[in-house]
Amino acid sequence: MVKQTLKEISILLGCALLLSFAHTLLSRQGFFAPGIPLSKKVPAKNLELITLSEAKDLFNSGSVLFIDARHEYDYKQGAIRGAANVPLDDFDAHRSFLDKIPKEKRIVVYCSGEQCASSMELAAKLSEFGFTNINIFFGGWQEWSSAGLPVSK
Amino acid sequence: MVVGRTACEQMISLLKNTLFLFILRLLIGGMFTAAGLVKIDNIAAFEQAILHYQLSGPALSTLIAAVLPWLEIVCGLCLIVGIFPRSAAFILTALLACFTLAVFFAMVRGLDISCGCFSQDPNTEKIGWLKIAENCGLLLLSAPLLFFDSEKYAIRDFLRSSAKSKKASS
Repeated sequence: MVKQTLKEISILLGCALLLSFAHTLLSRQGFFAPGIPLSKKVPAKNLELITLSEAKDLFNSGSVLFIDARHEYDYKQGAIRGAANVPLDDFDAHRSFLDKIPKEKRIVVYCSGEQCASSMELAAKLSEFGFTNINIFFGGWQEWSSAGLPVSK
Repeated sequence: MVVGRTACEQMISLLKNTLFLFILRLLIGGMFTAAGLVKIDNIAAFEQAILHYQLSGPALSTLIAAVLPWLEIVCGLCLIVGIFPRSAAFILTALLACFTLAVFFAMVRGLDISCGCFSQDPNTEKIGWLKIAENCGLLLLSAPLLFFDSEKYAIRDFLRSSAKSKKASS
């Protein structure tokens, strides 16, 4: 009885695993999402990656605009102090806001952390939009908040 | 004493009732199948919902987001059509217990997050005692499927009876 149940459970788990593998592979989601590993990311010419200490220096200079690429919900839970929210999925709705910013303004884009690619994708969109001085802070919200740096909640 | 025993016997006979068990199979199986279908539509959003619980890292969340919806669909459909109903009910009950614990721990830590059960919108279906009560109710409903044989009205019976009728007619 127990042996039979275990066998049935294994079959069901196996079916689910196979289907999820096929589905994520075909729909390019999950582990097969188009995001490229951080080490292999090559930013566009006018995009520059910065570290936590560089991001901190830029923050302290006060002349930089931080842009949070995460979903509005995550932004509301906590963000780098003074950062604006331009969710990657909702870029078009923020065009009027971006129009008001001088194109030569230095911008630092970030998302959740090293596992997300939204900062890179948003930076590319901002570059297409005309901004010429964009930095990407890959450590993102996780690194910033873990370091105890200024946040808004 | 005798009255109590009779009521208890009546309750057990209801729980053993094949039609009652079939309805439970349809209810639990249908619910999980629907929940799984909602999730596979947008795995990235479901992964985000899992991350909000702050119980797993990014890699584990990606794995759960990919496998869990299909596990719900496979077990839900098996329960509906009566293939391995007890094992499917066992997996779904275990999942329900895990979901309930996850919601409870998130509430204890004061997280104001969406359940991620039937909708991927982070502003709807917030976790709370109502969600825990709902899950506990579903756990109670799925319990009879673990203890009593619910293989009646299964696709196997249907196939057997149609094969028999074919044989008889030939």
